[in-house]
Amino acid sequence: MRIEKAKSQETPLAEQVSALIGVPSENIMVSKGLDGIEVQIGRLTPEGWKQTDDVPISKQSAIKAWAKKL
Amino acid sequence: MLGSSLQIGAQSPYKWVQNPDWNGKTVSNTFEAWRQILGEMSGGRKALWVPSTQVVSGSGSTTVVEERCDISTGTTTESSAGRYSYHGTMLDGSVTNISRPNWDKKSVFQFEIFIASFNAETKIRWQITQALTIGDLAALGLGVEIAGSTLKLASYGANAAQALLTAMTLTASTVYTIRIEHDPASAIRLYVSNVLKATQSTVGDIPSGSPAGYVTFFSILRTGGTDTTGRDAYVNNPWILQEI
Repeated sequence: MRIEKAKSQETPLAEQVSALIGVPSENIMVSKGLDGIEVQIGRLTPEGWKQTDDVPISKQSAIKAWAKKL
Repeated sequence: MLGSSLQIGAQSPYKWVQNPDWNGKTVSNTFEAWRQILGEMSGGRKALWVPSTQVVSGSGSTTVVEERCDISTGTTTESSAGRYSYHGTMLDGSVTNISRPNWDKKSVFQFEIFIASFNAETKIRWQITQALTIGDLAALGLGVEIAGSTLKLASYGANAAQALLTAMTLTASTVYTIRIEHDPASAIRLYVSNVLKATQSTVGDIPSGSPAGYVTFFSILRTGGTDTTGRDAYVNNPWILQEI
């Protein structure tokens, strides 16, 4: 098995959202699949991701515009 | 049942050399044996990562290269990365439930894993799970968890909690073949590079029934605020097979 380290030049998705809504990227979870994009605000615990809040309504239009460009 | 054996040796390497009785059928060569083996499995095939969904936080990222999935925390503390894929390999006879495993059937899950480096703040998980966020098993399912460099067998059954069994300490930058065998209401066995390392035989910790909505989920999660080295892991060549 040959392993090559992934070299992505793109800014990670969570960091892109962080810049849009002003929440630290470690408190943002982005799910990107064929059926769409989901953004959650929360935090990591040893057991896993815990959602703590919804994206503020005032920031949702910016998120939707960003998602359309992906 | 396999009446005779697939003999691999100096006289006839990698060939089916006898006429074994395979469930009453006679096979005379490797191809016929493989054909019979396929006939006893439900949708047995490679579990590819296409299509799949990426789940990331912080500087986490994932990459899919054919049947390989790469996950990375990136350099930001408290970052995570994962990718899940609905698999159509376990059928219960319904198109709408194509991702539904039947835990009352024997099955086997196998993949290669490579972890570039370890850290105490990092957990790497490979799961057959219903959850679509990174975390412990929270419903019927099974998998492995690597906390730091410690490999553990994870399962969730009627006892309604994730059960962990410590298997071994892994070495960084090493390719391991992980195989998890599921025998309903009997045992889950974890093999590492073909050596048995852990057996879950508590019936209440073995999944059962045929619940809907299962994914293969490979993830890395970093808690704690000190580690800023990017931690990378790779899964390759995944198989999911279930008896018919």
